[in-house]
Amino acid sequence: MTPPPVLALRRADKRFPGVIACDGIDFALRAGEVHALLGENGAGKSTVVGLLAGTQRPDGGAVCLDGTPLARHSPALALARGIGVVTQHSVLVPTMTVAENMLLGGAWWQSPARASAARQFRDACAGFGIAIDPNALAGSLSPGAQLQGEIIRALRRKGRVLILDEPTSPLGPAASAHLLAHLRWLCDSGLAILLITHRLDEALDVADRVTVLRRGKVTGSLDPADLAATPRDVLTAQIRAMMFGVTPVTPVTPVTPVTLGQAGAQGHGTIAGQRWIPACAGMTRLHVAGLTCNTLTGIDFSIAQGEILGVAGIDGNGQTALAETLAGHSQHSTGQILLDGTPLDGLRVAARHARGVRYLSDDRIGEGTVGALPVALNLLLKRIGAAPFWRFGMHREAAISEHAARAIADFDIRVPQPWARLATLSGGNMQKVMLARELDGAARLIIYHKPTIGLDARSADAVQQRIRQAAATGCASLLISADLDELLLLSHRIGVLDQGRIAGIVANGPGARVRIATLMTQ
Amino acid sequence: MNRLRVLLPVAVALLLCSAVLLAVGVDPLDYYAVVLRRGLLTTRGLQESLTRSAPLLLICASLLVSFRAGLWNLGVDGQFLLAAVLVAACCPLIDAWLGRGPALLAGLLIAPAAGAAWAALPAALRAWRGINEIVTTLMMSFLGVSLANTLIKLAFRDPDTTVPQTLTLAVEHRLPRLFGGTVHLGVPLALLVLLAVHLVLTRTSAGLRLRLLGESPRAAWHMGLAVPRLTATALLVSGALAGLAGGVDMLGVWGTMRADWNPAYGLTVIPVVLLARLNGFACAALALLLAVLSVGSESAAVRLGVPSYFNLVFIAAVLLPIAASGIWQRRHGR
Repeated sequence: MTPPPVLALRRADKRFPGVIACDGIDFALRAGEVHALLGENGAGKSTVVGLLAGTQRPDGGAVCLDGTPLARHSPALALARGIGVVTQHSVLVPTMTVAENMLLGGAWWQSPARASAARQFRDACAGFGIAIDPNALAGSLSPGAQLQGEIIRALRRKGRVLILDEPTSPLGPAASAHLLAHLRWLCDSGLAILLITHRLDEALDVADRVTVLRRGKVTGSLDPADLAATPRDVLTAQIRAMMFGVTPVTPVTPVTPVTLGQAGAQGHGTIAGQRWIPACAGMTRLHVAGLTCNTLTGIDFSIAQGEILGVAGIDGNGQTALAETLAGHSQHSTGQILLDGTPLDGLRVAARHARGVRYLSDDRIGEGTVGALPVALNLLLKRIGAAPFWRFGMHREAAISEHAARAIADFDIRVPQPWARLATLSGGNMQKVMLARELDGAARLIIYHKPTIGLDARSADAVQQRIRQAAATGCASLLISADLDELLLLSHRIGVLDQGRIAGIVANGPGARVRIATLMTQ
Repeated sequence: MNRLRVLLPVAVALLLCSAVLLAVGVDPLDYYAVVLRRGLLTTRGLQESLTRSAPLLLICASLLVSFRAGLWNLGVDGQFLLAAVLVAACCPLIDAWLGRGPALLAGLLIAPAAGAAWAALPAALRAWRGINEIVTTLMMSFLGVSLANTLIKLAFRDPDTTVPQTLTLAVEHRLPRLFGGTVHLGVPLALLVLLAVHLVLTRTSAGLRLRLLGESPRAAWHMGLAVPRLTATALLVSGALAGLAGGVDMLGVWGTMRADWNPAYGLTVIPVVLLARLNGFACAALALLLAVLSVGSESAAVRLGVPSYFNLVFIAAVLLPIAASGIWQRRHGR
C-alpha cells in the first residue's frame, strides 16, 4: 500500500463574496513528485496555495498532513510542519544580507546568530549545488539567485513540501531552465513539490503529475503513467481543453480568419447566449507602431472605428504599461501612436483626454475614484475647470448637479443624491460612475482595463452592455481583461500580450478560444 | 453633529483643565473669569485679542492651503520669522526714502516673497524628488529661525540700541489703526485673506485640484493633473501666506524685530487648523479663541500666578478628546 500523500486538500471549499474560489477540490502532493497545478487567471490556483500554506482557512473540507486532517493551520504552523512557500514576488528584504534574511521569523528573545546562519546557508547552497554569497545584500542578487535564496529560506526548517507560485515568471529562459533542473533534483531527494505555472511546456518538462483547475473545480488530472504514455502535442491539447473549457483539437490546427462583416450597420449581437459579434470595418482610428518602453517591446496594432480589440494575457505581462502609455501617463521611448492619423507622441494625459482618449482604470478605489469626494465631482474629475461646470474658475453647482443627475439616470447609478460621498457606493455603482465619466460623448478611443473585475454578474452585464453601446457609436475600444470569456463575448479581435510583446492577434469566431489559449500558454 | 464634534471636546477640555488648576491650588472659575474678562470682555482686552489674531488667521490660511493638498508645511515659523526680519529691516529704510505708502506696500510684497522663498527648497524637493516635506520644512524652519536671528545681529542691527534689533518703523508709520483704537488694518486684511482662501479651496477649480491631490495623489496623477507643479505651488503659496503673517505682525504691531523674538505661532496654530477640520470659518473662530485665550492667560499669569503657558495645556486638553473621537469614529466605521 502506498503511503498517504504528504499534504492534501480533501473536498476543500472556499468562497469569497460573489465567487467560489474552490469548489470541493481534492488535491494531493506526494513525496518525491513534482506536481504541476495549471489553470487560467482566477481558476483558484492561488486559493489552493493559500489553503495549503495556512494563509486561508477552508470553508468546508480539510487540509490533511500525512493523511490526518489538520485542526489548526497557519503560516507559522506550516513552516514548523516543513511546508515552504515561495510566492511570485520576492519576500527577501532587499537591504538585508541573505543570511540576515534567513534569520527573520526566529524567536524574538534569541539574538540573531548571523555567523551560524551564514554557515548554514553556505552548506545549504553547497547541498543544492549552487553558490550564493550569504553576506551579499539580497537586493543585489539576480532574480534567479533571489529565488534560490527564497527556496533555501522556505526549506530552512527540515522542509518536506515546497510550494512555488509562478516561480519562473520573473526569470529569463536560462535561469528558468536552471531552476527547473534544480527542482527535479530537490524532488529526487524526497521533497514534495507543487509548481504553479502558466507555461505548459515548463510544466510538462518537469512534472510527474498534473492537475488542472477551472473556475474553482478540478477539471482534469494526469498521473505519471498518462504523462509517460501520451505524446507531448496530444497532452498539450488535452490540458488546454481542461484549462479553457474547449473541446480538444489534436493537434491544434490554425483556424481560418473570419470574414469581416459590414461596418457597424448590422448592430451587435445580444449578450445572452451569443458569443459572436459581427465584425466591423470602419476607418482606422488608432494605429500603434513599434511602441516600446520599459516593459513593452515593439507593440503593433490598429483599431478601427467601432471596433473592440481585446487584450488577453496573464497579469503582469505589460497590460498596465500598455494602458498607461496610450493614455499618456507614461511616455514611450520609440514607436508611434496615431489617433485618427494625428500623432499623440509627447502629449500628456490632459492633452490626450482633450483629444478623446479615455482610460478606465483597473484600480477603482486607488486611482479611478476619490471616495471622500461627492459623486457629482467624481464624474468631472478629468474635466476640472471646464465650462460649463466652472466659470472663471468658480464652481457652478447647478450645472454640476444637472450633469450628475443626467449621468446617474443614463447609467443607472444607485445613489441617494448626486452630492453623496462616492465611498458610500457599491463597487458596481463606482464602476458605473467611472464609465459615465469616461463615456462622455467626446470619447474617440477608450481603454478599458479589467472593466468588470470584482463585479457581480448583473453589474458586469451592465458594464458589458455599455462597452458595446460605446463601440456602436464609433469609439475605438481597447479591452484589457484577464477574463477570456469576457474578451470572447465583446471583442472583434483579440491580441495576446506576453512579456511585453504582442504574441499574436486572433480574429474572434469559432476556434478563437483555442488559438488564444495556444498563444497564452506558449 | 459637526458643532457637537467641536463643542464636546472643548467642554471636556474645560473639565480637564479645571482638574489641573485645582491641583495647583487655583480656583478654576476665578481663572476662567480672568481669562475671559481680560481677553474678551474689556475694550482693551478685546482690541489686544483682535490684534493678536491677525498673524494667527494668516497662518491658518497658510496651513489650510498646505493641509488641503495633503502636504505638511511644518516650516511656518521659519517662513514667518524670515519674512518678519526682512520687512523690519527694509521698511524703515523705504519709509525714510519714499514715505509711508510705498514702505507699507513694499512690506506687504516682501513678506510673502520671503516666506515663499524659504518654502521653495522643500517644495522643489517634494515635487520633483519625492523627498518628505515634513522633514525638510521642519529643518528649514530651524535654519530660518537661526538665520533671522543672525541677520539681525550681523546685517540689520540698529547701531543705536543695546539689545540687538532692527531699525524701528515709527508707530504712526505702521499699518493704519481702525476706529481710533489699537486694532490695525492687518486684522480685517487677515480675516479677508483667510476667508478668500476658504472660498478658493471649497468653491473653485483650483481648490478642487488641491483637494484631489490631498485626497489621493495617485488619483490626481490618473486624472491628468500636473502633480509636481501643483505640489510645488501649494507649498509656495503656503509659505507666502506664512510670510505675510510675519510681515503684517511687523507692520501692524511691532515695527522692529528683536533678535530673540520668536512667538512660534506656527506650531500653536497647526492643532487649531486640524481641530477646525480644515474649515475656514471654524479656523477663524478658533484662531480668535486662541488669541483671546493667550491674551487672557497672560493677564491671569500676572494676576493668579498661573504661567501663561497654561493656555497651551488648555489647547492640548482640547486636542486629546478630538483625537479620541476620531479614533472612536474610525473604530465604529463612521
